[in-house]
Amino acid sequence: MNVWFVGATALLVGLVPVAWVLIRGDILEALVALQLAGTVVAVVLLLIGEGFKRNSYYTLPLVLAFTNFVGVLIFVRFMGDREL
Amino acid sequence: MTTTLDYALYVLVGIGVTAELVACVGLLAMGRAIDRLHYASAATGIGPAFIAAAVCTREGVVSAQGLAAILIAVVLAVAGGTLGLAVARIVRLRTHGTLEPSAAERERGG
Repeated sequence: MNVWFVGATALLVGLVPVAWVLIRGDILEALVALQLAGTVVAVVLLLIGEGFKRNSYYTLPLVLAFTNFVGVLIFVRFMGDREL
Repeated sequence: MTTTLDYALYVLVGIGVTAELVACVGLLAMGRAIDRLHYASAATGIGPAFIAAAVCTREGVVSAQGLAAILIAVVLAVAGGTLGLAVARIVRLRTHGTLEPSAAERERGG
């Protein structure tokens, strides 16, 4: 257990309040929580990749950073049109 | 044996993780979506930058891991700013019905 895994574990615990807002909040609050969850998980994957010292593990947070961006934008686009 | 480099890593990772945790707790503590958005946006800048700095401290800037970490931090920061703006617009539209400032907001210079 090194400092990278400790950090990743702490951030996974930090996802609990985010999940709470995601589940219990209204649609706008859930959208904000989704954005933060994507960021935190990307950082967790980055920490895990460095913890294992595997070069290929860095692909995952990079892809997540892009897909989280696109995913939230899609939600924003559809929420502008519809009364969800 | 713990070296100076290890202590530097502890500090950088600690600051990065703490910044992310503060954002997570702040998201829960705030009451409105627009207030929560401040914490969600803050998490895209400070935390990933310190984690990328920690990776670069360990692996070196000109390395596959260092460059990948910098790229991830930059993508998160740029995407976070853009998403913050887009989400703020949709929050404003759905709570006020328009992006235009109200008379009271104009009065106080908003």
